[in-house]
Amino acid sequence: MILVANAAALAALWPRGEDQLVIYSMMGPARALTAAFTARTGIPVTYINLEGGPMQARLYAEGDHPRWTVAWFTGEAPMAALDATGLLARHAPDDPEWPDAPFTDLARSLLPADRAWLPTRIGLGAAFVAAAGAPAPGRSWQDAFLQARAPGLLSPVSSGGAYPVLATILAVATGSGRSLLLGSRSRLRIFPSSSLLFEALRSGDVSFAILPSETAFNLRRRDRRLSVTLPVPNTVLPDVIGVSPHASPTDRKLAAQFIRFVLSAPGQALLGRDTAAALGWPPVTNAVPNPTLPTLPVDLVHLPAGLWGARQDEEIGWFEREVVR
Amino acid sequence: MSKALKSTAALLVVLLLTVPLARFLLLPFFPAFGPAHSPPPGDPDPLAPALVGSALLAFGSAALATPLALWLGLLLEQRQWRGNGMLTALLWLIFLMPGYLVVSGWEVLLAQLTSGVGVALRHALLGWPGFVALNALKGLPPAILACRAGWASLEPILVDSARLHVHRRASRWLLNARTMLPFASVSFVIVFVESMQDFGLAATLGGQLGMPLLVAEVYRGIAAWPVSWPRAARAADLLVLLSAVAILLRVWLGTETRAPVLIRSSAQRRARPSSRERCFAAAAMAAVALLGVIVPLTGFAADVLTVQETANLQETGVWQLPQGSWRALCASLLYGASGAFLALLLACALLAIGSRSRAGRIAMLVPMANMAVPGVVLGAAWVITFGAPPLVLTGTPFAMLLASAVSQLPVLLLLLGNVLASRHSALGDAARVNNVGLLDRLELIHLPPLLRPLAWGWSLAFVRIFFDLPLAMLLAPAGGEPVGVLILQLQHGLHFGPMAFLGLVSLALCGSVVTLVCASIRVLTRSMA
Repeated sequence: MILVANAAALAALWPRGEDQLVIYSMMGPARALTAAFTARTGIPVTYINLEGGPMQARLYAEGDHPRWTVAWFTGEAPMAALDATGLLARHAPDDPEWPDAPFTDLARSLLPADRAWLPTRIGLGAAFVAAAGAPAPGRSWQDAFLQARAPGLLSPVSSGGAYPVLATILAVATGSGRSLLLGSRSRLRIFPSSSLLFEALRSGDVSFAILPSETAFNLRRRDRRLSVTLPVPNTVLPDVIGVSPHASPTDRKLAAQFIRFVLSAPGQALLGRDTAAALGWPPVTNAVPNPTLPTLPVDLVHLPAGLWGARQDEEIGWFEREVVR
Repeated sequence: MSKALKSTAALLVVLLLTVPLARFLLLPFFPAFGPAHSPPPGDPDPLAPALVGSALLAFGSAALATPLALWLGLLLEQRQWRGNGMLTALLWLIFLMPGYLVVSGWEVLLAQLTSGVGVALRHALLGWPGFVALNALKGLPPAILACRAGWASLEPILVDSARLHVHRRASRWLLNARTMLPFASVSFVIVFVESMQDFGLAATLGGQLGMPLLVAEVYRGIAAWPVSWPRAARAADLLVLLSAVAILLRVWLGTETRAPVLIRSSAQRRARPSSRERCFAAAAMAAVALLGVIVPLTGFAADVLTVQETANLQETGVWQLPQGSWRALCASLLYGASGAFLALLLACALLAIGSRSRAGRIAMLVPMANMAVPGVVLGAAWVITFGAPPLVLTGTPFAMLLASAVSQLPVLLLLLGNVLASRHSALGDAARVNNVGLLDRLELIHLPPLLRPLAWGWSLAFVRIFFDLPLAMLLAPAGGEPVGVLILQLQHGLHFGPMAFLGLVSLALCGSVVTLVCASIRVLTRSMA
């Protein structure tokens, strides 16, 4: 009887057999988007939402025998790393399979030379989130750090979304990012997750936090007492999407259709509803930006993805040794 | 089936179960064992500080948990105390709750302490003392199970003989300690190894410890950009090495001190606790309830209930299950039940075959390595090995089921090893000589005295597979993700209300299944007595 029950369990857990578009994504659940795509095209979608770390482990472990067709990340560094190791399909500029879209100037400047990925949403590497009841910091990095009673950061070791913030501070913060971090080491509070940092902001345990812009706006959406300021200078942190080089021609066409849908006006509107990219700026001119967001700053720095991706380990190691401990 | 054939079959099973992890662990020496596409590894940081840090903290947790486990095991198994049921329920609740949930609840409440003493307390509890204490608390339930098995297997005649012939209380305590040493060593090893490889607590508290940890180095190598499989493998090798030392020490202690005890043949009469024992028991229960359940859940609930949601969000209400919850709960139930059954079957088969020869006993140690590494390593190792021809299992439930069973196998081998070893080998011989079939012998002779430890083992494996996260993220087929994955997605999306409600429903469902199984076994055992 036990063996029969186990066999029945196995049958119940067996995945459905029909051909589907398989997406590995860090963007959070996207039910509205994938349901609308399926309703419009008839193409079933298998959407697997993973954290950055397990997603990376799965992508590299699958290697030349991938189960995914589309990979979708926050940040270009992981995409650049996949491209460097031959795990992303590259496209010629006139490749008909690779969708084009009415990109903004900023989005078009983010396109890699080998067209291995496309931006689907624009975010910023850093935003200042002031605690409830605390005065909003100015836009200057130096002023914000020097005047803050207790700045808060996410740990880049346990939170994959924290490294872009660290890279932004180190690369563009005025007054040298390392000096700012070392100078505020005694006051700095490091949190392993955004939920704990959120609690600290609400209770006033930290006076302001530095987070990726999408996370910052998400926290403000959940507690209107928080305020968000965009520092100057800042870096651009796009959400990017790419295709497996081992995808069959049929799957590549399905992937291209999905990407075209994401970059369309209805797709961008749905993207703005329920994914982690909800609070970013559209990369295309035919989509309406979220009215609750400020105007996208003009003067943004685009960090070379390959360079800063390769330096991640070194920079996090420095942060742990010199700032945390 | 001949002895050689049985040994060969056991060896093949052991190899199948350990090849994925072995391949990963050998990466630093044979880079070709890794995935075909990997970025070039960078300069590695030395791992010696992480090795020392992990060993010290794990030793502290195990040293704290083992005496408590021994005493609470005695209380639950040999004392007729009214609070036994409540204490058992509390321990299972602590066991059910993920480590990060316990720590998060503590963090939320401790964040309110801003005065001098409060700040000092916060720094202590969120530093290494808290890390050690929380790991000991999380490891207490399986450690108590191991000790209960030992107390349960003691015949009353041995206890009575000691009371009659050994007059000094201290000498009787030493005698009991010596008898219980094999089981205490099992408790120690379980807490030691699991403290070292648990990433949840290390991720939540690691930044505040002021020292590196091996499990964090493993995760950094495998899950940080750019990936470095050799670095993760080196750190995993050190985890396995430390665990091997602990397990070998345990094996030596078990061999040196094993006393010929028998599984008791009838329900043991429990002694009434003295007033001093009752006071200690009540204090222990209050401490366990406060530290392990009340404080974390209060902090967690407070966090959830004070979040302000806006109408803009396409979200369900706080007290509604999010979309996909029931499918995830069913998947968790099925993986948990089947995976636990498979793990139990493998453990019993390996113990039965392996105990008959020295080579078999050594071969049983091999799967222990699966216990020493974090789940993300095991999952990645299985994807590498079974994601490509000739044997492709990824994308099917087989990969998740087998990997889950393998991950629970070491703990079950530890828990059931002493129990099965103390079974008298002649119990079934008379029946076998008289032509009673194997299935009948199992049902009527061998299984009845083992029903309770087997039920505990199944329940422990079921709970751990139910809430498993790393293996689920890497191996669960698309569309069949277990509930842990959904809970994590909700947490990252800051959907605390639905996340908490789903967490509570999951706890209740898991607890109900375990209660049903243990109650059924209890009724069955009493009817057989």
